[in-house]
Amino acid sequence: MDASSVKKAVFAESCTPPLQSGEYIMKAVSRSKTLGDSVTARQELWVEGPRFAIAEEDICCAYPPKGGRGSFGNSLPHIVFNRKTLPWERSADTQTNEAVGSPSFHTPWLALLQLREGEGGIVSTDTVQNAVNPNSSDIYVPRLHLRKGEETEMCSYMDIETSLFRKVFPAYEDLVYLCHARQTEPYTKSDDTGGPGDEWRSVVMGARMSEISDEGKKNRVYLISLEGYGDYSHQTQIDRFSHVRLIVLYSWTYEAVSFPWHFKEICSSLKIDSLGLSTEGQKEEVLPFLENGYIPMRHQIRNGDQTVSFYRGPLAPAPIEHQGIPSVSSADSLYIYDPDIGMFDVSYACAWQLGRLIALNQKSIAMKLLQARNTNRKQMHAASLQVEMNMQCSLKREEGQKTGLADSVLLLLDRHLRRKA
Amino acid sequence: MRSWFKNNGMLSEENVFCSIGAQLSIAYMEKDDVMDFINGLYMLEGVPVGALIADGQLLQPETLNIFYLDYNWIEAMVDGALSIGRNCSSDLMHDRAVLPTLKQNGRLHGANMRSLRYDRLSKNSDGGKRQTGFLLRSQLVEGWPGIEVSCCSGETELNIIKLEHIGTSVLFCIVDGVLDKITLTEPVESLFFGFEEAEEAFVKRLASLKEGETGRDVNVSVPLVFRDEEQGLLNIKALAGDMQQALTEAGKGSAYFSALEFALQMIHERARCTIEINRKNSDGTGGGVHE
Repeated sequence: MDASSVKKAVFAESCTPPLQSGEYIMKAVSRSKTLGDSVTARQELWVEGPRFAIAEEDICCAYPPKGGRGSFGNSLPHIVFNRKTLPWERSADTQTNEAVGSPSFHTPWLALLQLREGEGGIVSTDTVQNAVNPNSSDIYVPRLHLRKGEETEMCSYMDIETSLFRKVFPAYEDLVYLCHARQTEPYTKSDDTGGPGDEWRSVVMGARMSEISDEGKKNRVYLISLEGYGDYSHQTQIDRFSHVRLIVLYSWTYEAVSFPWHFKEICSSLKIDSLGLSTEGQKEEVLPFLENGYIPMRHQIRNGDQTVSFYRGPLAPAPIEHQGIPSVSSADSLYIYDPDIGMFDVSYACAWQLGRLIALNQKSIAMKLLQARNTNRKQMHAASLQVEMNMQCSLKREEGQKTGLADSVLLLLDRHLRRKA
Repeated sequence: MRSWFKNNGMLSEENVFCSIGAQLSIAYMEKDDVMDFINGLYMLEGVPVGALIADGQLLQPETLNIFYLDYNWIEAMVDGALSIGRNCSSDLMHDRAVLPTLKQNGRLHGANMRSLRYDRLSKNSDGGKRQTGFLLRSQLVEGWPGIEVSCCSGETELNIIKLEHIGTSVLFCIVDGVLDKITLTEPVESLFFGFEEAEEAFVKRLASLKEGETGRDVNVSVPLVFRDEEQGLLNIKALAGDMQQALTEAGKGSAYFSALEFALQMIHERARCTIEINRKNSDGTGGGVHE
């Protein structure tokens, strides 16, 4: 087939950032044999990273697609981030991190919680301060150290029953397997999903199968922050509480059906056509116009009358010969009139006007165009006059005529132009 | 002025303008952001969607519409953009003399802009080719925003001039040439992690981890291990252990088994869909689409 079938897909176990998010204290120590060690400088550092909320642009996509409907019963949901280090920027471990040398491998702080229909779990939004300090003593929340200013940020959270949490949340030892990083090829993708240089993406997988049925069952997925929870699978202190509070960073729902409906099936069901309005049920006279991609549109003429004219954008269903449009002084010159049906084709006139408006929108470009044209024009005027003057003068000398007045005017002009040029 | 020269049969102003103008068109070339602006116009940058697609009816859901790019329209727009300050007839004459070269260069450079940005210019656009493209409105665009597109004309792959989303559910693509094959591939990052069904239970077919043949199918499957079968919660660690053991027994394992190897085992093959377009010949035969 083509070379793309032999492309490689590159994976990585993790993309750990050089420093995890958090507070650091940097000390510079001077060492001397005779005087001993002394701390000469001290600096507090704060490495920022998403903690209670994730920006929209950091999320690349989620599978199954948000609001999607398909046969997702045999797959695990996952979410892809544009930030390649995101799952490793913080850790679920509760050991204090002393960043000595390179960071050892920590358990990622992100996981996916999947809930089926009827399993409760309502997401509430509140300030971080209130989320981390629940008013009921029966809700487990890990102790988190908040930095100044973080208390007033907004975040979403969910309280779920501890028993449900134990049954459906991925085990602590599984978290390590559920995150990895992947390399992609940005040229073949839309420019809106990232540009050149954005190659690596990080992925977090879920660990629970979706619920399916013939009519489709709603499944919900929540991206949870596990910062501060530690080894929750083996900790028994959580069981003393009736509910566990989880910080929700992102969520989506999808419907899972039991019959096959995937990328391939959707592709097969696409209707392929050339661009143009459908010609079903239209009158004989308008068919040639519709087939050529024209659309009838309401047109208000300058004197206030209303008429209907044909418009077609730059996208046409059939190849169009390049005739070349000369420079015109106004859009009206580009109206095309068909006397047989008495209607205008306003496509090119609209394009001209649109171009003018786009350029006017960019003031600096418009000014530069104006200046360039004025400079050119003056030079051209001067040069052309000079040329013609010289020819005039040489002709006159050849004919040996003296025209009196005309001659002196010519000389005046000559001197004037020389001064100007 | 004019009467003097016309009466004497001299060169008319316009011709002189043209010959001098051709040399002076250099003045425009120096202004870089103006050139970028003009090149961008050739790639329909800054054009509102309403002007591209005048009626929502043109884009039905779950359709892929193929189009040709109308250069006359783009030229009219570029002329309009360059008409700022065109007040008197000598302005018009100047523009008529100077702008054609500018427009031609814009057409050439506009086609190469995207490929240059990605360092993927395989062949310089000769600026004379017809440019075509497609508009895809479908769930595919919403659900797989990183969908990969590749277009061919015969056997040669065409440079992609523009590939953008319009809203969330429409993909707009223009390529340098007349396309007759479009290939849509599931994005790499959306490879989903899935299982195969075998006799009422789910199993996972394994892929080799041996150096040199990584990813190739090994005819071994492991059943899924659940922590709580009723709730559907998997025991990932045990599953990973089973995978590693099965692969080592088959001789296709590797020394390590971490998230990386687990991910490799879990991915499903990428779906790829190729759409071939047969154009009607000039005598009306042929025509149609198949996948």
